Amino acid sequence: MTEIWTVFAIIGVVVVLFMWDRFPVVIVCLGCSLALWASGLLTINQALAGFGDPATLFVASLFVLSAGLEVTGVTAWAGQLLISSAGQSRVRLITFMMLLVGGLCALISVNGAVAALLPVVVVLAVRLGRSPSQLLMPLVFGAHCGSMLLLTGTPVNVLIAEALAGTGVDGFSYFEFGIVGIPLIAGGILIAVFFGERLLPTRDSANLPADLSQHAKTLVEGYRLSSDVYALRLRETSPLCGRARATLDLGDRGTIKLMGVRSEDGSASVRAALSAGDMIIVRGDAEAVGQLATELDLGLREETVPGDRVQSTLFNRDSGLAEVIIPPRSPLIGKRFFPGMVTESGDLIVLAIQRQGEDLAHGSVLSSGDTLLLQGTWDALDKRLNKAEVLVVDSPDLVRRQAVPMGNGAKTMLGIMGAMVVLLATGIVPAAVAGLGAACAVVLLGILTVEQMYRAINWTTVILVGALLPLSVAIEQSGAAALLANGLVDLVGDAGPRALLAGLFILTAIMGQIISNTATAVILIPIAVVAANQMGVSPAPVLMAVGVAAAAAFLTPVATPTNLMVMEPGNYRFGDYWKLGLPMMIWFFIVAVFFVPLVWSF
Amino acid sequence: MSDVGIVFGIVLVTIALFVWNRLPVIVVAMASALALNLTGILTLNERLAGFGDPAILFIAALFIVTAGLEATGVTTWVGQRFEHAVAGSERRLRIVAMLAVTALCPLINASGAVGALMPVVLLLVMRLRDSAARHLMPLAFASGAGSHLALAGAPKNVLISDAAFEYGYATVGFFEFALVGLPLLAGTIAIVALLGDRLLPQRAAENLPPDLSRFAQTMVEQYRLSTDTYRLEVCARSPLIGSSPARLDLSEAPGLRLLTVTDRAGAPRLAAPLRAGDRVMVRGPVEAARRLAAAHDLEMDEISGPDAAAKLINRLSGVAEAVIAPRSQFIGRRVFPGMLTEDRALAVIAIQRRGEDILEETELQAGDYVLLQGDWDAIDRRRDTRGVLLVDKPAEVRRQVIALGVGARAMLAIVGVMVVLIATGWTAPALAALLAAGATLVLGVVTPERAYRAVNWTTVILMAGMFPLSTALFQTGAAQLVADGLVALTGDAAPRILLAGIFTLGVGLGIVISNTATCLILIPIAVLSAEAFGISALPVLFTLSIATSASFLTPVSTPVNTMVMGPAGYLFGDYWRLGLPLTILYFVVAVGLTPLIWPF
Repeated sequence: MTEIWTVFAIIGVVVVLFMWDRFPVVIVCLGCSLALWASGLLTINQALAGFGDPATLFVASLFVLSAGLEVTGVTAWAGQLLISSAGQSRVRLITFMMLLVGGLCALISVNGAVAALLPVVVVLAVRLGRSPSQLLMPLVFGAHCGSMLLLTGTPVNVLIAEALAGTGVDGFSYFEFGIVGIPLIAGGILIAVFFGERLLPTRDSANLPADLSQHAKTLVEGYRLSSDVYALRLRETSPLCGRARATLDLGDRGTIKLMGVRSEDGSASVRAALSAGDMIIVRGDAEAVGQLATELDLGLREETVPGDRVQSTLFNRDSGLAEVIIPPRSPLIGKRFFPGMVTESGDLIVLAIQRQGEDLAHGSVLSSGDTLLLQGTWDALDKRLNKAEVLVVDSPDLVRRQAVPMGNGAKTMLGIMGAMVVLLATGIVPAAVAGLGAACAVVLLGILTVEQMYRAINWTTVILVGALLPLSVAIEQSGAAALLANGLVDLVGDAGPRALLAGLFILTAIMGQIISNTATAVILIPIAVVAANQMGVSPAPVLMAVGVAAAAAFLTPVATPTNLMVMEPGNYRFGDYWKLGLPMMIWFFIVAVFFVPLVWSF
Repeated sequence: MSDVGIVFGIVLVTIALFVWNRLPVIVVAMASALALNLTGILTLNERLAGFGDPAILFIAALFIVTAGLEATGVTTWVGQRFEHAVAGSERRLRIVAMLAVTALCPLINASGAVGALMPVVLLLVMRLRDSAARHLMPLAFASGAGSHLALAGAPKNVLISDAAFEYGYATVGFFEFALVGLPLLAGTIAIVALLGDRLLPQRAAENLPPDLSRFAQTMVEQYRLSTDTYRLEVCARSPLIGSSPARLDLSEAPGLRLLTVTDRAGAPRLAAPLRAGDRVMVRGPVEAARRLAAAHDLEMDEISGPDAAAKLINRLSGVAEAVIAPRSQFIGRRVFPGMLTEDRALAVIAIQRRGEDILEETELQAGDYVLLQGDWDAIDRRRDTRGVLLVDKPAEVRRQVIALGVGARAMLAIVGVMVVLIATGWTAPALAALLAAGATLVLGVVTPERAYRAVNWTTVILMAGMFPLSTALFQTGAAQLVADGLVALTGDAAPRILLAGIFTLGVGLGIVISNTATCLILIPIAVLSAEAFGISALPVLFTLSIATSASFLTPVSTPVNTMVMGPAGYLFGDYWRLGLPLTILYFVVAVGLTPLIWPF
């Protein structure tokens, strides 16, 4: 009996510490597993075993896949899709947005999906003249609904699937979650469409997140690269044929500025030698360009290259632009740079140099505070700009993620994703093996570097799962689960298993508003399983109801990190959440208590 | 194929892939574990158990503790002490670091010692503009000798000593290991000093952080504060006390500009009434400053000379250089030296445009840079402001410039407690380190995000991934098979041949499985074969002990080798070059010296 009280005491302290929010979440979690060891409930190996649990590693591997989709521009593509097909109607916009975020979230979990679409939705709101607060909460709530579409939607799904498998029944399969997920998201959309306008505040917000999706346009316009651009075709007879690209310098020709060389197949290379058929792209007045063409025997088209063509030539899935400032004491101060020159490393091109917003006169030396616009492959930009010589204004990595839809490797990434879905859906290998295999493939195929992979993993979530899983074991082993389950079953009495679902739903939902959903699930899952056993019903509907309740984090901004994420851009207050959240919560309750047992019978 | 055959196959393929070095090591490690699972030798839970192993959490937690030491400036402080001893010579740095690590080993074991010293060495490497690859491997290798100096140096020492006791020999004394440990240490240092330059890989350090140790002096020079900037301290009798700094009358001191007013700790106090001890920073001709000081009973001090740094930067407050980005919302804003930022947390001390000072009020333009002064928290908050770019990361400045900053004492206390817990054996090392890591986070000197970045995940995942392989070798009896085979091979030759055999086995097995596991497998074999020879088991056991310390050939031989792999950027094939001479040294000591100390 004392063991049970120890477990209760530990749970109590953990919940209080979570609510108090004074210590980092990971500390509370680690403290919890150490307390389980110190109180003698578990051995040290048991107390730490959660980190080696398949569920923990599966959750970690999902973060890697999510980052893979982001880096290759799949999420940016989803955002552009939203912008291009949103239209003017509010109903259409909200429906489409919630479907998109739900679908995305099913694959890459709530945090990833909301973070990817948040800047896009803000841009849409501004463009359509709507207040962001009308759109952002439906976005997050749509993500919560979508998290129940697939096994990969949230760590909670992984935990309940594992718990069900642990009881000897077949675990929930990959798509099985969709049976409740689809009604949840449908209902969520209806609620947002019909009540959203009335229940959501209309507020302007001062602090909107940076939107880099139009970055290329900003830069091309800011450096006036879009006008007077000519493409010159290298003829076989030109004296330039065979010259190394890096030595090409048109700087001595007055107003003409070299912007790049592209080979016939459209790829840009700065290392290769020039050959017939290459296009030399220059900026300058028509007369000078004409003269240059005759002199060097280049084919000149009469009309200039239109601005958007210029933009797509400079900024695409292979290569991009980066703006850098020369900081004080940089070794580059006093060096002579000119537009069109290739940097020392040989893989970046200087497109423009500005001093206080004006083009730098040809031949002047760099001084601190000058800005350079560099063009090169994304890899080269990532690698070369990491030095103390220059300050990068917007990190190329960030720009690429937001501004290049379906970039390099997107197809490979989707292939990996597809393979993992097939493995998960067919259940040939355990979920953790499929997830880890996919994560290994992401690194092996070069989509993410090992470093990027570590940064992509949300360690707080991983440690939370790993450190709290032993608590689940302790709750069960000590008999605390049985005690609580007894109480719950007694309370429900003759009202039947539906009342048990209702009771568990309310318990989970209340805890879920205060502490993290995953932590809630870890604590309540063993109780739910034992209660189902004692009532003699199948654990499947009971666990699914817990899963649905854990996803229903609607009432407060602190219920999930994503609720908090939109608070500032949406200018929401604490009391704004429950207004739209309550109808959502009621719908989730109806689905969990009345619909779930129809699908998974008691 | 039998299980043993499969395990050998997987070991060979894994090593081949490591040597090939085209795939990331963690992918290879995970794949080898995956293979053990798919061939049915280990269950899924066994294969993943490595991630929950205390030894791995110990390493992960150590990384966090050292991040705490770095963030509070303890590392900088130790580094400054080291700097004197090193005196700018990289060769001396290697030797000093090796001695330090061996001294720490018996206290906090090899991983702990390497973990604690690695940041110090990295800091000094950066000052010397050298490559980390030239210093970290000697550090890791010295820990092998270090763990052989006392009973507490490594868990396997305890196994050896227990075995000696169990089989009826005298107890091994606490420092008895040092009888061979000291020659090993001396030999290691000699080899590194003589051959290190040639055998250590030369890796260009790609992401070496800038050396900011002279940051404050640089700022003073850049903004020309040394010639005409003065700090006036408000004395207790000063008539200015109680009046607002904004109303300070500078008319009697022509040409003088008020830059900022700070309290003793350096936090700006431009808005509040003056108190005794506040510092008024002014810029202008020296006579004017003198006149002002005399008129208001202020104590004058120049911002120049060797201690200029301390006047701009201390543990509570500092300066940061911010550049106005293109299209910034700050362009066009009117600024002048001596103004406060909008939130009144930072003072603008100086403004420059293309290297020229701007002393009067001006409109900001893209590319202008301003020197901001204020407390570190306020500076840190500016880091992510759009439209301004900080030239040097404030956290990096603080880490390199301030020795023993805020929280340093608490951090030292945490480490002290951890060392005591590990050295006395009251708790498992993993637990002590986890508690210390937790305390570091609770103390708030390291945020969880920074802690995650401080952990070298390659080390952690590599170790966790290789763990199941060791389990499989052990469980399937593959290791035993090898051991029995080799002992049969040595047959009834001279006892020294037996020592050589045991040594080779220990080193060979130690490449893939942990030192402790190697000891567990080989101790019974060592004792039994000693008895078969009719000789004392002590020299055989110590030979085994030396062999299991000689983990020099691959990065996966021991956790410390793995620990230095990421930070130094070593490849799999880098280790054996310096490792081989050291292994030979260990071999000579084990086979030649051991029987002289513990006779057959």
